[in-house]
Amino acid sequence: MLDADGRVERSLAEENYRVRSGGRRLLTELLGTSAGAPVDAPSATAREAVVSASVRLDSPTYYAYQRLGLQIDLTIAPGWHIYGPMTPDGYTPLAVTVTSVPAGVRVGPIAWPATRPFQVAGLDDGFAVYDGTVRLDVPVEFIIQRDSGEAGLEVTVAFQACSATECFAPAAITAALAVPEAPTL
Amino acid sequence: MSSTTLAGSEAPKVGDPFPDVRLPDQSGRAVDLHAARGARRALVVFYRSAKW
Repeated sequence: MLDADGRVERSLAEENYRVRSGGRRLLTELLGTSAGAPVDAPSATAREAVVSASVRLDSPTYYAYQRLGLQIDLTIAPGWHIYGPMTPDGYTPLAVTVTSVPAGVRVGPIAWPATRPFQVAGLDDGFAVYDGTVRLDVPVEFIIQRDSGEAGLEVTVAFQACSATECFAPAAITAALAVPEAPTL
Repeated sequence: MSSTTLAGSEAPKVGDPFPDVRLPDQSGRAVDLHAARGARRALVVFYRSAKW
């Protein structure tokens, strides 16, 4: 990426010559902020207890071996929080997994947004939690052979929601996306 | 690439000026990178191969 003066501002080298980021995913990686998702991209919403999720792919289609981005917006009801990805033993951390048909779509390293500290009176453990709204930008790699057709994704967000005084059992939200394969040029 | 020979040289590092590059666009018109971007930021992407 070049700055306004034409100097190299950031440089990013792919580790694999076959797996390449789509345009919006590349911008997200280089800019460090979400590049958003087009309105015609596959999307789904789901809810479980006090947490709702809106899941949208950052591209209307995929190419074989392409890395795209899943934009997951979590909304947590007031008075409740969910644990972040790093949490003490015995508590369920936030996690995102994807399965697909055909098989081959995998989740890459997630740059988790910052959590906030949370302490329960009387407990020694300190917690790192999310509340309110949280946006996750999740890289997904379509390690699928060309001409495989539409890819069906099942996106699962696992979490545990608690308030200051009580907790729900660990839960998960699952959203299904149908992603057409882009025609090859 | 025309106008600058990069064969055998290292890629520009963060902070280095990106070299002058003039290449044809999809219509065959020659485009100078720095002239085209003006004073805007730019994203330069190199693909090692375009078919897989």
